[in-house]
Amino acid sequence: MTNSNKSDSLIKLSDVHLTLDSEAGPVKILRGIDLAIGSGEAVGMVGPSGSGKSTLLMVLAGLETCTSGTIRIDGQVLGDLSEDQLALFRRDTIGIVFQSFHLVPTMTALENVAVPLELAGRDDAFARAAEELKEVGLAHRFTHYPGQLSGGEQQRVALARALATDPKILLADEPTGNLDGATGDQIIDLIFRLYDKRDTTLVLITHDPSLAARCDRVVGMRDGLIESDTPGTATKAGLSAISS
Amino acid sequence: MTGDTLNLATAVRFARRELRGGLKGFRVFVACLALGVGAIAAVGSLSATLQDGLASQALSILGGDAEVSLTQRDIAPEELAWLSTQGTVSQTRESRVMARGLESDARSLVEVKAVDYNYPLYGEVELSGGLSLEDATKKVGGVWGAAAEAKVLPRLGLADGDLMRLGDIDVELRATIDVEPDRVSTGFLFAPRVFIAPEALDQSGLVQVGSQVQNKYRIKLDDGVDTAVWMETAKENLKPDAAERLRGPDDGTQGAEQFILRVSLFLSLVGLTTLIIGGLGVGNAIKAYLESKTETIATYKCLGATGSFIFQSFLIQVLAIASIGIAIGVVIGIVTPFLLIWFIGDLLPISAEASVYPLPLALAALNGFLVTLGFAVWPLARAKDIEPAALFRDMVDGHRGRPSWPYIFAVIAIFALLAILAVFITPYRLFAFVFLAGAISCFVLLRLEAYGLMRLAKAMGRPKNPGLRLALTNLYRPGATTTNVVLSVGLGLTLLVGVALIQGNISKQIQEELPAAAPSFFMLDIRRDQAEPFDELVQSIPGTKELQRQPWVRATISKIKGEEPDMEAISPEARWVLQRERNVTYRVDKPDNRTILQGEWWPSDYTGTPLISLDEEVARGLGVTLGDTMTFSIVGREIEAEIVNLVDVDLTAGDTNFYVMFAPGALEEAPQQNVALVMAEPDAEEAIYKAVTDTFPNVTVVWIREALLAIDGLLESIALAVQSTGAVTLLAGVLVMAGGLASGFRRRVYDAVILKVLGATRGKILASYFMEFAFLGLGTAVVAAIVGTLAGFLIVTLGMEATWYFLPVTLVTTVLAATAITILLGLLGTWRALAQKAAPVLRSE
Repeated sequence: MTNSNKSDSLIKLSDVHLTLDSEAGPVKILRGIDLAIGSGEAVGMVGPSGSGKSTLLMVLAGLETCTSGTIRIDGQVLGDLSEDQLALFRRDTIGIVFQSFHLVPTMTALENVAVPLELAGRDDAFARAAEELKEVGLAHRFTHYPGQLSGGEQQRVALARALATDPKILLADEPTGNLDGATGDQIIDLIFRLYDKRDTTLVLITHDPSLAARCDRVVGMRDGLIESDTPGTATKAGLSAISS
Repeated sequence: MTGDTLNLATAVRFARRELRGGLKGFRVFVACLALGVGAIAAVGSLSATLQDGLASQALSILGGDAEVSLTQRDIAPEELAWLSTQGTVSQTRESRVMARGLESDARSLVEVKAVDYNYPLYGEVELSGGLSLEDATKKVGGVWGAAAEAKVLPRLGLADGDLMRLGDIDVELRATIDVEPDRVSTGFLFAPRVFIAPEALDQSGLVQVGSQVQNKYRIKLDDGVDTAVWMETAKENLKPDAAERLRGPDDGTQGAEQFILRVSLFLSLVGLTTLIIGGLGVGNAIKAYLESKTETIATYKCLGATGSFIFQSFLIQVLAIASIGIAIGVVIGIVTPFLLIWFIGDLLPISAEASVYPLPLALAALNGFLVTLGFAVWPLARAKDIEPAALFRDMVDGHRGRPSWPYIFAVIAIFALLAILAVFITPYRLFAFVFLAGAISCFVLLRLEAYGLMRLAKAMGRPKNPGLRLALTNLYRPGATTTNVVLSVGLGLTLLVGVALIQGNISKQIQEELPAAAPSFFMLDIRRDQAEPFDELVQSIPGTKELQRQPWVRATISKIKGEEPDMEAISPEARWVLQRERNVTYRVDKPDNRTILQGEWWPSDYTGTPLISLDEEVARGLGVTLGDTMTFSIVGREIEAEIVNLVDVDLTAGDTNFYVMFAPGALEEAPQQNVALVMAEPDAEEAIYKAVTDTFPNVTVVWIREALLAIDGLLESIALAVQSTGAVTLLAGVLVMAGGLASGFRRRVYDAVILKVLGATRGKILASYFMEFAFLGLGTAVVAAIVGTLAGFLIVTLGMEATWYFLPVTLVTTVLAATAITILLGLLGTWRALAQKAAPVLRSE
């Protein structure tokens, strides 16, 4: 399967501003973002700390409401949705991988992956979750709790959980930030392999330019603005070859 | 599958997984609920057990299917004849008389009960050695027998088989009484019970015209007769005054049942207070739990869980854990009556069979769930608003601020439901309402105090002494335990202070104030021919300060202003004077304790038509005033008298209490007895007691000091029960405080480590903690003392209409003890923080 239809804008941000109040007065985090991401595209977001890239990801996930501007995802304007509607929208459309994994400590690996499926009321939640875990190479870890897994394994579970509902968009926030180099590389390879295999759109936040370069586009951010938007250096076909 | 059922089923599944972490952090939660629910369930079960005991023994408690009880007179022969055609009749006569041990020469007041051989119609009398009542009381070898309560023996220096003198005869003590089946319906007895045969009472000469004798006629109806229907028939066949004194089985247990209901209501309200204090612990535990779950909740929301799903899933967890505490409480409720009856069943006035009563248990459980919900909804509603964006920031923080309005209304509704449940389930709604209003006011006051204490600590700035600075900061910093301690310990302490002061006040009045004003003796049944020799004897004994002897006559009011009295027109407070025969007296001079409000006292040489002096309150109730007439029926003779003055009677001034006094001339020839009050030096009391009982064996002598001690003893037992429940409330407070300290433990460890790094010794840190808990404990105790004193003052002055005595020693002792407990618990809770090694803590930060 290839990501053929890259020209349609699955994600479209128009003049998005976000200002947060702080004790020192209002802080402008995003200062007019215009960004369009086509369906099936892989976009790497880079920039120094405080540039606003994580906040942009939160805005994309509907976890933060922008102060002004429009966010349209899959034809849906996020500003029109209530908090609960946003939760359901996330469940059906977006998968998220966090730097700190955020697995539920009282649930086994299998149960963690099943959570979004259960929340969606899928009767095949556990069968589907098992498939996803096999896909990330954890067939032997179904009944393990997060505390019994290594960091890399935990992030694999998180990845399987993010992709379990076949979301149109996968958001990854510094997915290797809490892992050692070798393990981080394995996770990145896995992310790209699964992205390549599925008809999904990837937004990857990283401060590692070489990692971002493996995407179709690299968007650079600074001070709440998009500073650059350039094509990635690695092609999808090439990556496929590497990961296989 | 609909969205809702999906959500609920999934929520239950998620809740079950979350609970895999076990009960860690919920121990105080479970203990608080178990304690509160246990207190309510235990009181409810015990009350149900006792009420059941009363109901199942109603017939034996009354002594028959029905009873006619008459004071100082027998039932008419034709009435007795009619009763005898209706079933088996038993007659008992009860009188308070003096008994004397022949060997020891010791004397004691006893409550004699002369019983025929039909007695008891229901239930069994149990005597020591399995002796039958007939064998114990019949005449053997020319000597009558008696069975007496065991406490008579030491008082009269008697052993089984010894003789005691009752009036003119000697009776042989053959057995002690283990069970008197109709004891409860008799009410409070001043003196121990002695059973004798009816003929023995006749021969003792103790019963004269006008003697205080209670004649009871009990009937066991023939099989198949409906008691209620029969009572109606009986009222038609008996004369009006006997018909009025006809009682059914429910009437026999009514007094005891009301007593049980009142005491259990008070105790269950104290239980509810305990549960609500425990609720603070529940709320704290839920808050701490949800804070530890912030990340998980944010993760769920990122994965598509709605706020209401989060609320449901965590509410299910909370209710599941609450069920454990509530179940333990219910078990406590089931077990308590069994244990109490096992251990102290012999002390209860009725024999009760413990059983499991689902209703009070269900009610206690319902209270437990409502309190859990009341304290859970607020933190849960805040948790559901946790922002998932928190996961992207490294600081995952709990949601602050208040929940949305529907949840706030839900909390208010739950507490309102609790209050309505507490008030409407009892027949004494006003009492329940006043108690709850008091508890809520107390809660609000303590909450304000906590706020004030925190503001004060903040306002004190930054003292140079680092220990003091830390102590003050600990009082007001975010997550400070101040509100927790003030509310939880404060409520229980207020209750204890209130009870201690009320009991102290009553005890002081009984032990010090009343005896100082009260006479030494109250003497009854002085015959007319004994009056003068009695006066001479008493006044001849050195140490007698004053003797007031008053003749009295039994009289009923037959007419008011020449008309038959209309009960409906009489105010309820004054009806008692019309309900049966009352004692009236005659007198030349105005007694000192009476103040004339209207009219004038008669001249000392008055000899004209009958005049009376009437209690002003009674006059108001009857609707009569100066110049009106009242007609009295005295042994068949009608005497019409004019009211010439209205008086206020000071009952505390130590005088005989007659609502009406006649002028000389009207009653001198009527059958009469005398009562006397004797004021004497305490040293002379023994001599007077001995001389009077020696010379006039028929005279009943009530030694006031002894009687007051008996009442004080009774009050002390009730106060003990209340204080035990109050102690449970305080225990709940202590649990909540301990829970609060545990949740702030990590913070304390960190503080202690930093201070150690900066060179503070453990002693200095400990001193700082000491100061913190001393401020807290003293602050709480002072406010609890003020509120408790105020409550006690209102109850004593308004509720009991008694004089209030401020008791500083009781108060200061309670305050100091409470402060000491707070400090001790606080230091115990923080001691471990001091023992932590610095390096591991610093590495993990």
